[in-house]
Amino acid sequence: MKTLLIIPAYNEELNIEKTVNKIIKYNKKSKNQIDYVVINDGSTDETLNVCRKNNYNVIPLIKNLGIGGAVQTGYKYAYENDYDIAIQFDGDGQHDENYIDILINEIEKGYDFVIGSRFVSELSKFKSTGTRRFGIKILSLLIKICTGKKIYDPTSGFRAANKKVIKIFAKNYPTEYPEPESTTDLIRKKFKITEVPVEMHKREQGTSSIKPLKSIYYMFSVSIAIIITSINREGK
Amino acid sequence: MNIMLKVFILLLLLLQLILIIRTVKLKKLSMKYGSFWIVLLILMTLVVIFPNIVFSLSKLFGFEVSSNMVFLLGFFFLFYVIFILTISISIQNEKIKLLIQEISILKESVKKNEK
Repeated sequence: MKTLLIIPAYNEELNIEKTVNKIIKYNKKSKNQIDYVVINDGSTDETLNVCRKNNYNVIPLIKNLGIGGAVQTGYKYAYENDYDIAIQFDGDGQHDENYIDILINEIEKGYDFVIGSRFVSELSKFKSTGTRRFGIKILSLLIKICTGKKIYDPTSGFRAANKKVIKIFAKNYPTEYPEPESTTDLIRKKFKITEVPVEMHKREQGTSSIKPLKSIYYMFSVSIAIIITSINREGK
Repeated sequence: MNIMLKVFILLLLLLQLILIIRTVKLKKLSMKYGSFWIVLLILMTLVVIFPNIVFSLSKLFGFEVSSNMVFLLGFFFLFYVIFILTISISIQNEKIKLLIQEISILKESVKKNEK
């Protein structure tokens, strides 16, 4: 199956080379051969020049759109180029290429959408801070209440989508806190979703996009987004 | 109402009308919004000339002081206007996002084809 890795990158000049090298390494040893596209989200550092210098497949956004808009550009690219599977893979070194095969496997089994989850089993050694885990637990519970389906790691950005979901995301993808909201929307639309345990690493360089001071506001607006999205009614 | 005060407010409204027409002429305000503000100005002018409209209305609805009704209506009206504005900002953001995405993809594919 034709597979595309979507790598959103905002000011990742220190990580982007490592990330793309992971993919090259992956292609050498795996039976699956995958393409990638780096979406440079209007970085103000040397991210784009690093990509150009190494001749990476990159789409530089002409203005910064934020993570949702950048990832959606990748889905549009996947849709236009007729890919069967699109996988989101962060440009900051958090995600592990060794789990790509597992995600692809689940799609081949017939799932529409697969989430690489940190919490679905004890395998994952990634210990994010207690408060963050607590926040994720609450979002997980809220999705369970609103949709009836348990998603252990609704904020994971390591996710694989099949053709049907690519088409949906190319058309419609939330801008600000896209992961929990888009997952809720897929559950509501009755897509087959599963989670597989993956390991995640600490960010190699730079700081995460979610700052602690904003986290209360984050929890609040994501919760509202989940509730509104889960309401079974849509205009247009 | 004091006649001087009336004239003063009417002058202010006239000034506002000139400002609206000028802004539309300069193409800084679309006709659609221009006519909306002009309708509002006409309503306000009516109230200044015939203040009894407000007095009898507020009596009818049971307001103790008619200014209370004016403030309440004004508050609701402004709330509604700002709500409409945030809707229109959201629609524009969505359109701008689409433009940035499509142009960026297009630009890169043109660049690749040139090589």
